[in-house]
Amino acid sequence: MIQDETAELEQLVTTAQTGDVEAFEQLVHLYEKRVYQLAYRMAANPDDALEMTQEIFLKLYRSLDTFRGESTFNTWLYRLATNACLDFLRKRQRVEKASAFSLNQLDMFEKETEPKDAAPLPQDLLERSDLQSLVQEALKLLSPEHKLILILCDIENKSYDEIAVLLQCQLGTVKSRIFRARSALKQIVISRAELFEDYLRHTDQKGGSE
Amino acid sequence: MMNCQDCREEISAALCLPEEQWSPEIQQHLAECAACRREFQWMQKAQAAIRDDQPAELPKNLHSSIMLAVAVGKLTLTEAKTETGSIEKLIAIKQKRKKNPWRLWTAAAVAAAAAIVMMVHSSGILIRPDNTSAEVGIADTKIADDSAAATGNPNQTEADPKEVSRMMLNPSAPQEPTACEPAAGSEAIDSEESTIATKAPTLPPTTLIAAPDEIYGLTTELPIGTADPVVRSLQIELDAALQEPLLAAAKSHALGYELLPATAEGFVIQLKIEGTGKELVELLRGIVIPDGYAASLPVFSLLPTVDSEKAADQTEISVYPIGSESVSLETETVYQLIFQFQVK
Repeated sequence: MIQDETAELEQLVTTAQTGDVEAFEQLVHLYEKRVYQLAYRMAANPDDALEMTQEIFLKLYRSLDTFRGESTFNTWLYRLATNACLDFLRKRQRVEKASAFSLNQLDMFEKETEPKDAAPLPQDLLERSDLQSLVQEALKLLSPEHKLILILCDIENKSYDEIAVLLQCQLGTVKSRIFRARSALKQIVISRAELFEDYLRHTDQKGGSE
Repeated sequence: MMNCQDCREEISAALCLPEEQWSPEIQQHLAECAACRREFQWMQKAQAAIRDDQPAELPKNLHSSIMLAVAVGKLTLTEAKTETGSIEKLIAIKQKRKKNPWRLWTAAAVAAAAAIVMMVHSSGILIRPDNTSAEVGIADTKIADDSAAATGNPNQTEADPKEVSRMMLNPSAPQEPTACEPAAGSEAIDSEESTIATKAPTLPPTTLIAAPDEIYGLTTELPIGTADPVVRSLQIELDAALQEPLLAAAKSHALGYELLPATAEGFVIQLKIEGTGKELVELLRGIVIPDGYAASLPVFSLLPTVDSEKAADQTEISVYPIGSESVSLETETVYQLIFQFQVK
């Protein structure tokens, strides 16, 4: 059954490579939802996600004839998609230098996430009811590379081996990058939790003085 | 013995594995080190929070906007050549279509269609299907006759009015140049063959029938011929922020156009535009990458209107790139682009 599907996909790709628009459109149909979901998680907003998705399929159209079947089409397309997402976000980051939560701060976090310097986890953080939203927000603030690797690992459930193939790096590098990404995420969560506490304290004081 | 640093990297990797597959070293370290246990708890909770992220809602026009982007991205402009009036390329491309020769689509065409609609809009002409009005019913018959005359197809005098494009002209339309009237200096329109601009005046009179600013600054409904007694409509929806640059682009390229009769092959409306490669590409660029927009796409979307009672029967507009290869338009060559909207 799976073999049939694989053969069918291979045939579809081969047909699309000859310039068959309908075959290409079928490929779009097959992958557009998955690609959009990846793009959405990377971009964190629907407009950018749609734009990224369009760019990915335009790149697919332009480079389809370079697909030689050395990896599966899934892997090849995913690699193309992840690279396109990273390019897009890097470009966007260059434009958004004046972001409220600046890249400098993120860089600072990244530097702080060397394992030996890993900040201790506040005792009460694990008990917080808003931990989930803090993590979700922190995920958006991660660098594109860290965000991508956590999405691939934790949301897309890709194995380390698959991620290594996708990102074209060694298994050890994947392991190390994921650890760094988790550490960076933790630092942002801690920072935001502290900011939130400060805000609450400030609000309480203000409220109390009135 | 494993130190904390190594252990944390290992437990990060081990998160995706069942506990029984963890190495004895990790298990031993975790049993002995409270800090690493807490770190592990954190990683588990963070991973659960990440995994809990709900899938995004897909945009309604996801597929068509992707195909449109691909088609737009295929257009390139080559060096100027002096020949004019050549449409062989497009005809050849059209013939490549195997199953349905009417399914010649381009993002260029669609973008140009939007431009035409903008031009039509700016000229005070709006088009929409309407078989509910007796007055329009009379107009339909006349349009069927006029369309047949315009296309030289006598069979179409007997065409089902539902399969014929309907146009209504606003008698109080603005006096600015319309899409039917090429702007001064638009020499391409005067070329000898298939001069759409000279055909365009044969189109029947039309009437402004809808406020143009209903949705996102512009709503234009196009007629769709159909054997289905329920007349469906397509809607071209444009972001308000793009209306101004689109209007400017459309006005600055007052190219000829012709509204062709719908075919019996589906719910189709066809529009034909003629201009030099340069004009067409500039027109497209004016639309696709308007000033002030960092992103080139998406610029506009084509969305079907859905009757409230027929929401389940939502239609989808297909967008097809020209033929199978990138299209290179020569700067001075005059092209006709025929494009259509088809409801699957």
